[in-house]
Amino acid sequence: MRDGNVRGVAASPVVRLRDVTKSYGAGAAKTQVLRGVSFDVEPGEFLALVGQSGSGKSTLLNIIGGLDKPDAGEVEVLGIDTMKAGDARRAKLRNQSIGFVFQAFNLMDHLTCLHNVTIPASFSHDAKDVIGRGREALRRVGLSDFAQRYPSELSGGQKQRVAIARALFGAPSLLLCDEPTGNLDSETGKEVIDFFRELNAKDSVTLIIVTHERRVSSVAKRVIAMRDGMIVETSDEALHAAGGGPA
Amino acid sequence: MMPLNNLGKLVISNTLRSPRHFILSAFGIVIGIGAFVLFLALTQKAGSVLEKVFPVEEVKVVAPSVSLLGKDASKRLDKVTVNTILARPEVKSAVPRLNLAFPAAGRGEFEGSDLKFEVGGFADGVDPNFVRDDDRIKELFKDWDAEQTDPNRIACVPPPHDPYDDVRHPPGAPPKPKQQRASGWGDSPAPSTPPAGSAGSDAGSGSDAGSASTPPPAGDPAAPAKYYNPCPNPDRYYCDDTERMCKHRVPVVLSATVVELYNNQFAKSHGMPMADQDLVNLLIQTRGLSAMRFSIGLGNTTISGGSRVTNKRPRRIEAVIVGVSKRAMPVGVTVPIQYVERWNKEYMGPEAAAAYSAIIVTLKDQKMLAPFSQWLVDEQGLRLDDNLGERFATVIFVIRLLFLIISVAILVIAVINIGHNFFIQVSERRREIGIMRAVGATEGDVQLIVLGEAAVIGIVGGLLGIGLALGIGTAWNAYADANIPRFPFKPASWFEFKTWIWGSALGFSTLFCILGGYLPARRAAKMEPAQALAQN
Repeated sequence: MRDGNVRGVAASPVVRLRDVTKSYGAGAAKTQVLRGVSFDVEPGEFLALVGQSGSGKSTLLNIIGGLDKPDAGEVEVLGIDTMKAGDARRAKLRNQSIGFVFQAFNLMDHLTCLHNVTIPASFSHDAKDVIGRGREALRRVGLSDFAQRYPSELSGGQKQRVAIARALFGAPSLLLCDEPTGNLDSETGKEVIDFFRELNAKDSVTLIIVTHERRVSSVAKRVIAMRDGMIVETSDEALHAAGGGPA
Repeated sequence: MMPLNNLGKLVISNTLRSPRHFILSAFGIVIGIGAFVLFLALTQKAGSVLEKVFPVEEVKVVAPSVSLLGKDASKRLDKVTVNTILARPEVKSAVPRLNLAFPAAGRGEFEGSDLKFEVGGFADGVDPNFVRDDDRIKELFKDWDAEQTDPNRIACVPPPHDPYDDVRHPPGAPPKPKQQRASGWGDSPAPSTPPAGSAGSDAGSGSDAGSASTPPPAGDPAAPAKYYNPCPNPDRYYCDDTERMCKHRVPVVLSATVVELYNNQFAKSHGMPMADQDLVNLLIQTRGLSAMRFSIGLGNTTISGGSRVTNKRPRRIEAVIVGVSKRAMPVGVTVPIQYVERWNKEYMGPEAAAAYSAIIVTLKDQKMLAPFSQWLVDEQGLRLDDNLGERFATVIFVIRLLFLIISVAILVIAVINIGHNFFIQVSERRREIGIMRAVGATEGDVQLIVLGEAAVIGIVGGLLGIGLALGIGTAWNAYADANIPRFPFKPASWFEFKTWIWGSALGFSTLFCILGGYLPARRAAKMEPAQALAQN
């Protein structure tokens, strides 16, 4: 389906995109990254965005997370029109309701693991039990004993788990993951994916994962494939249950 | 906006993790603020010394000298002139000064030396309310003769006459015995009044202490009998020869210039001790006012040939130095104007008591000096006294301005350096900024974090700069104390580190650093988080 296909019309989708376009550069150097993308993500979904490099999936994820702005279209996340919301409103949304996990972990090397996890609290007025919540987040990812370690002392998998703990610190309802297993070996990558699946199943956290790995997309409930800034294919839960899914 | 305590923690944490960046950024600020504080403190001190020499905030109105057939035909300054000047809107106060219009000779003892000096021409009077330098002056510098209810004004017997007190010895009189201590500034254990002023030319400066404590040599025909001051509170009261009544000594204030003249011209050549302003105050505080008393022979003179101005009979009064005042006559002594009015009237007639020598005018705003001066010349036929202090003040102002320009130039270079360093920092920390945006930092938060780091550099750099200035100042003071010979008004400290200098230095360093960090902070805030995070 190439027409910005929509999966159903839910009453209150977590993410609602309509005809989102985005380009970089200007004139002859202008590159159209997104060409009218539309879809909804329902609460509790586990969605995989797949596609080749340059297909626009990471850009789309950044737009959903409010880290980037589209040129046109409508973007609604958790009921907030992020196109119209001001910087402070979008920052609050990221701080309280959205968690990010990146391929490069993006930890601050000069801070301990615990401080990395609790860094979102620096920008929040909710100062309640910050350390306790940070330790709990580390415990959930199995790194209770690493609170005072620095990122440079950790393996790649451990770093990614600290990044996940940071994403979970604010108890977000939406987790956006950009190639979360891209820098991990297959074993560690599998552990991370299992963790996401459990998170989605037990805590009903809505997950959107950008990936080009079949083993990751295979565990998603829904897969949206992108090419040249457009959605080219979608699959539903039934399809995955049958073991299919786009490459 | 993020909570301020969290902002502070992040700023401190970021500052501590890159000491190299901190040192590179703060170095220029430390030097700039150090220079700023040192230059300001130096010129502040220069201004303070200048104020001691010339009260620059006040101007002196005088009548231009006009002579007609050898007679003084200058315009008269009187109460009407004072009131006319006071009526001007730019004038805050106008205080007349009245010169002693006839000869007078002073005599006193200071640190064991007998001093005689001319007072006529070197004395004036001023309203006591105009002289309020310290508490002692406020208490004692007033017209004591107006205190008619003073319980200490009791009848007394004045001391016998001591011919050695006379300025002009009677022909054939033997030289004064060396051991005889003269009156005035000595520290006699039981101060007494000097010999009574005698009739004619030999009346005048008296002595008291010596006659009370040290008997004259045997066989000396002029040796006075032992005499003790019979007045209550002898430090302040003496037995007046004329009224034969205890009277309060005439309070006198000296200028710092007189003290310096004494130190540099008189003390050296006469082997006398130095008496800086603090020493004068110390002497009065430790030994009482008796340490600073002397007598004045009104109508007498130390100048050979005597006075032909007045044919009134000379008489002796006693005075006491109550302090050093910036309102005192620059070279001479100043007493409450009421005394000079009475003395001038007594010796020269009522006209001399009402013709002021000058009027000291304080303007509401120094900028109004030019129009005021013009009005004086055009409409009053008066002029401002050539004010050397004003010229010095202008020179100091220009020097201060020059120093400030140098300091600001250093600071501007430091600010450019800070801006450059912060641009590099922001560029190096793109990914970190992206992370902060991703976890909830607003553009404003990012800007505040960078500006906060700049402010920390400003505060710490400013404090270090102030410390540097204090260190250099202390070292220079020690060097100057040991190696630079004494000169008039040589200060104990060459710098006056006023609170406002420290405060403004700290304020400027913080402000300049924030200015330096502003553009980098703005760039950091406007950075697209997605692009910042894309950096590997």
